Amino acid sequence: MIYSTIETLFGQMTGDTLRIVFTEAQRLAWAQDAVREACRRSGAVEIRAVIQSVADQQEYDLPSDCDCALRVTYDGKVMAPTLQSLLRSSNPSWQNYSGTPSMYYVDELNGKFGLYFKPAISSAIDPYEGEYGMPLYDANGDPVTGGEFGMIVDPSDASDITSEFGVGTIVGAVSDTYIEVFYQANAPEWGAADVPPIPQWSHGLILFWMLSKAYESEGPMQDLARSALWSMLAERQINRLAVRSKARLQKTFQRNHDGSLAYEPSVTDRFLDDATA
Amino acid sequence: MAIVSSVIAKVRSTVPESSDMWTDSLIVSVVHQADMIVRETCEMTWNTTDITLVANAIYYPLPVDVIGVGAVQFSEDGTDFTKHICWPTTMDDLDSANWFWRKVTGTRPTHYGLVGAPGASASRILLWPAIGTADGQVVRVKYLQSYVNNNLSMIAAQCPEWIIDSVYLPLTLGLLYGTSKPDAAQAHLQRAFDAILDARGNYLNPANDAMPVDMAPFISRIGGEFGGQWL
Repeated sequence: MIYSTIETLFGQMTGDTLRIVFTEAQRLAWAQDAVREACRRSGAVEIRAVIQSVADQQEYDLPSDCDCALRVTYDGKVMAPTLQSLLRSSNPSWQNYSGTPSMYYVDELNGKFGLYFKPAISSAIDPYEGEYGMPLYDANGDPVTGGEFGMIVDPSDASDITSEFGVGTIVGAVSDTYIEVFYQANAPEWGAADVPPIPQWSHGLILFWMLSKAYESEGPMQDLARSALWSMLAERQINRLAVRSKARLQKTFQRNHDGSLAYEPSVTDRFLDDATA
Repeated sequence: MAIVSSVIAKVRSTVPESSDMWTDSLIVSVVHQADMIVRETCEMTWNTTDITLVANAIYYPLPVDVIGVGAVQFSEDGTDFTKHICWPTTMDDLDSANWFWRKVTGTRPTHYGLVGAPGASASRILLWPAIGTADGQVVRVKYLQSYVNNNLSMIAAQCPEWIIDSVYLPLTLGLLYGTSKPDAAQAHLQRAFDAILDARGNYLNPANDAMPVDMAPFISRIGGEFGGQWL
């Protein structure tokens, strides 16, 4: 649900519908604190970022909301994590080599990640335009069906929304040599007009957290007993979010449609079964 | 029995002075908050969404009312979903089997995974392998649903009366009293959370009418006859 719904209910429950005791800025700050805490403790928000590779460029900026890089791929292949110290000890001139990257390191201090080797080629970029939910067409009017850039399946896929109808421009890579970074996100930036970026079934924790902070704050409405109650509820919801996030897949599969015991094929079996490389 | 209207009526009869304290609109909003808590804990409602597959695409968005994914089924043409199911997997599993799995295409996805916890706008479902040629193939995702908006669907939602009495009513009263009488709120909330696991059993029992018939093989309590495990 959108933040304004939560904020309106907060006002109704505290009796401060006119925002006299608790300002808009205070309320939004508490809500953002709640989302930040929920993201940090649950790891619920994981994002896939696509970054264009540049020939001979070793290092790239991590997304600003990156808390922890989970995996990095180049040209569709997952790369092994390494350390700069290991690269230095194996070859003092490691930064001079270019080719097909096979390893990556993370420079958390500077918010960057690096590739070894440096990419020898850049991924090509072509802009596409299209309407939300519809296939994309390039400047020639030909349909674009390459990979995830073949359809704007979600407005967030569009790099630039150019009209109120969700027409957007996507930067799509023609070649596959782009970099993917999968990372656990800190709370992405969001504002009063947005939907808080945690799973929506857990949005109640934002209200509970706001109420806890409101009754904890110095002022005419301070009441630590009420604050503790709402804090308990917020904690419960954060814990539920953490459970749902960390156990998000079924552990095993049960039976076939006819009730017979299912055999769970290994991933390798499935490669032999249906896949064509 | 309709949850919202029943809870309003029961609040009014339980707390005679409630009309001076809480409007109907406020009670509905609070019931909505309570409903999201109950629905997530008790796993009450299943829904489906169909995803039309795109050639070479692996990641697709999910609806924002998803709590958890129960099953994923495939259809060649969007009509018959009974022949093929997708197995849950993780990117780590796929990476360990073949570092180039992202480049593999096939005639239908055989595995699914989740990028991020479902329900957030950034979360995605991973369907592997990607199909090589799009020809009307559809994947049906069966998922646990939450009513994330205070809308007509939530207003019309129903459940057995004993769950309204033992869970919804005390939970709603606990949330309403939370800003005025924290001791009373604590007592109501404790009652609700004690009863909520009992209510959960109602929905996880494969023999119960509340369980969608075709979902029964996919979910059960730990160690149950059908085996398997859900969280």
